Amino acid sequence: MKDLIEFLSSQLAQRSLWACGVVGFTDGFLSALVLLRRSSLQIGTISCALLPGIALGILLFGLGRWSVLAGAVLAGLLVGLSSLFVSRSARFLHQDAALSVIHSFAFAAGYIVLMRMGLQQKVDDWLFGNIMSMGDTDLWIAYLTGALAILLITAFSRPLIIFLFDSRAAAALGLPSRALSYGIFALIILALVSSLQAVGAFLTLGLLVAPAATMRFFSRRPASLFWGGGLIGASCGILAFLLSFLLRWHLGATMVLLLGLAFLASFALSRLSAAHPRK
Amino acid sequence: MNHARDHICWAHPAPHHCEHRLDVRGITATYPGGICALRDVSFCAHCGQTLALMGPNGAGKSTLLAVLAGLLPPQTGDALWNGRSLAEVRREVAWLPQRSEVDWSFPITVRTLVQMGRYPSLGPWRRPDDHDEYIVQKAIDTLGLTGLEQRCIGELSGGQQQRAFLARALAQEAHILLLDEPYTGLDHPGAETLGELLGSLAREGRLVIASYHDVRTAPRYFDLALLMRTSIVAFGPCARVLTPASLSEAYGLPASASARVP
Repeated sequence: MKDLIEFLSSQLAQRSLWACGVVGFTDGFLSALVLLRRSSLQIGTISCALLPGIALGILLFGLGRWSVLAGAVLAGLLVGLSSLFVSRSARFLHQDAALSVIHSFAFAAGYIVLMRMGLQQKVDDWLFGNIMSMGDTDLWIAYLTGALAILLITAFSRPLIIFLFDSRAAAALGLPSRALSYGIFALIILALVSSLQAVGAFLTLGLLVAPAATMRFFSRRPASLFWGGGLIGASCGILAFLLSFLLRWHLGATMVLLLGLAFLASFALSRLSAAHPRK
Repeated sequence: MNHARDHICWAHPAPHHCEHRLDVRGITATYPGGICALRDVSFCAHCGQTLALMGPNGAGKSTLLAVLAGLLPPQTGDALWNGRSLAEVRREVAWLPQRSEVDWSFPITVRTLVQMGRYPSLGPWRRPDDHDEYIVQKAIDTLGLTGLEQRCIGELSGGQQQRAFLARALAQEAHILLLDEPYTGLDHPGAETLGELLGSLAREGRLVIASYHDVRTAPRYFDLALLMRTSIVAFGPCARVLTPASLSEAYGLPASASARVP
């Protein structure tokens, strides 16, 4: 315990703790978007495509902070192309199979390219995250993403909810469906990039789905999914930071572990309250 | 109030002289991939009428509804409402999805769903005023959903779910109601209730257009029928349209068998 207090007084620790909270909140907030858009599978594809996307970004722009961002945008394009392929091959293959092949193919290709470039350490960070290595730019990207997400989603909540509920009815009501769909996609890509440094490509998926899924058992309004998801994400992030120091567990993995436990607990509670309804 | 002439405006009742008219002129539509879904479809209907779109699977019923709802731009042809293009009077048209297309696990209450119908008047930011609240409540009451406002849509019965979507269309104050397969999945009493409801909504001055399957019960629920198979086979009052000859043409069966078409 004394170690912990000493550790927490260091600037590095405070910065990392803060980063955990911010990334947890942003991803948790946006997990409602992923849940209501029913695109968890697609996010899985994007997070796997981040690796080849980054490889492409580095090949094109050299190694730097922004090449990671460019890589993530490229990853989004790769996924766009692959979903085109999936829809074209739908006559022969179920979406599950096509997406799985693309996942692992893209991942393998990205891994080979990055290893050939001699970026072992970086690859480890991108795969599993390393919050201590987050630089000022990474932190700023995380803050801006969080602020942008809250601002945009609050300002456009009315059309957004109509669109998320039923995109065809939204189009019939005269909403700009295409702009909304691209906007949602862009926000999710930003969230993936900002949490890549913190928890890595593999574990980001958990952060971008679990918080809202946990809230879902007790939520009757989309707004509570967003804000509740954010709070769950932030508190699991902060708790995971403390736990991972005390127990010497991997930080990103601890975060996702806690989120998974919260999800299971919420499910169990909802079953219990369904079995014993209040009068 | 000039507005009231063009709307069924509950707060400011306007005299209604069956002057509203939908003209569909030569609509041809193609799905991506070049498959022709509609060929040269033309018809005309008035408010106060209920119209059944009938024909075999793949005849283009849902496509025609999608074109009228503005979801699919037609290749040629247009649809006019009182002489103005439907694209200009989007809020006059309400489209109700098929049951299977709705995500019933989505966390929204009946009231929130009905409030969505006010979006064309409110836009993204304007706060709902007393009039908006009045319309929403009246839509809920009209469809017998009073007391269920705070229920999530997944907790309703099939008939209630249907009425919740109809309430959204009423809250929109739309004149034209487009329903994709509204009777699918309803039992006999449910279908009877919906039939009466759609009839009474039409009598209040709306035009109800729905895709429908059952040739025998169509005359009970609808005034007009449009029998189609990519292009129109027959159009007019149900009794005149649903004859063995035109049914066999639409369904591709010998005339003797078509009297028993499902």
